[in-house]
Amino acid sequence: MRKKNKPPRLLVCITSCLLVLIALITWAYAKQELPAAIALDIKGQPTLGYPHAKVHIVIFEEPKCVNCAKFTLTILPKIKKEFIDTNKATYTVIPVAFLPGSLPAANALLGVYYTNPVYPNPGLFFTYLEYMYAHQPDELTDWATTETLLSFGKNASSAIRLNELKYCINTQAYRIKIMENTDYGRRVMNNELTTPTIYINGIEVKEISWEYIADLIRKVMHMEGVPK
Amino acid sequence: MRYTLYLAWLLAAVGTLMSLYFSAVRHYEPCQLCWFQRIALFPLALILAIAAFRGFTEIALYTIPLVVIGLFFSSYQIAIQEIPGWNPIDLCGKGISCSQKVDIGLGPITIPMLSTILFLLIGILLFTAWRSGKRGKKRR
Repeated sequence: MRKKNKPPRLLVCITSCLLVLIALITWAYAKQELPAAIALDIKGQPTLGYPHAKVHIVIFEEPKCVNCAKFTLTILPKIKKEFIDTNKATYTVIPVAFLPGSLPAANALLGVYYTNPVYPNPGLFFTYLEYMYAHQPDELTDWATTETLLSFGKNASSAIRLNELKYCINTQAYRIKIMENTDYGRRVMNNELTTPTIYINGIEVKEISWEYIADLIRKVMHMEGVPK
Repeated sequence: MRYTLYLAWLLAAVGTLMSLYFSAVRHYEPCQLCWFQRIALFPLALILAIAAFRGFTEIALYTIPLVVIGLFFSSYQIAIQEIPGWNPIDLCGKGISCSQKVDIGLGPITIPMLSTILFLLIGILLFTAWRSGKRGKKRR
């Protein structure tokens, strides 16, 4: 009876030690340095967000890549809501083409972006890109035909000028620019170009998940002294 | 009954560590209402540790007010997060938004929801410990 009411002193001591240990290990793990960053050239690439934001998210995307579509449709809206729309980060897409038959789609994306070459339109570019990913046929089919790309343009936004887009697709106006982007991606990734590859202030994202990306953005913001 | 105080302390300690984890490791900036909840929770982790060690069940009388304060602020935060535009008393001030939900990777479960469950459980355990302590005294 007496033992029944005796406080569990040993248990309290052991638990306290364990909790302190867990806290110290977590703290030490969190204090680890961020991976090395690389410098990226994003001049002239479609960019969303406040130009003076201190966090820059850069992504290499391929129009026929299924994982890029998954990222753009599921994770990007969360990044946009929490970091881009709140002026904390900018978001830049570098369109590349290395899958068979994807060059016309990448070319069409830049065609929409440069509808007015003097004032490129990132908003329209992202609308078209999102629509393309949302309606992306199977990666193995040769879907990037003029008809499909024009119908995507027609349905994505009424602001897309279809005649100009058709001309751009037929003349492959931005073929060289896309090839330059692809070469640049290869150089950045040591000849192993994969998509989607994301960089946050030059730090490569190792795991494509909302939790990982949001944590890395917050860490970078913390380092840059951005108020949360 | 022997472990009720211990469990109440364990919950308070785990809650404190989780709160520090979100702010120091994952860099979520605490809002004003989160700070009020922290003010109620952090002392519990220390006071209940000593009480659990000594088996001092009457500590419930001293700590239940803290639990009630924490419960009030966490429930209020759930309400302003779940009912759009509802914010009768501006307890949040101009800093970090209290009504913005933070995705912690647990689906629809938010930090104030975890906080409410935590305070509720601590409150129930403290009340049970206090009652059992009272009964024990009467028997003697």
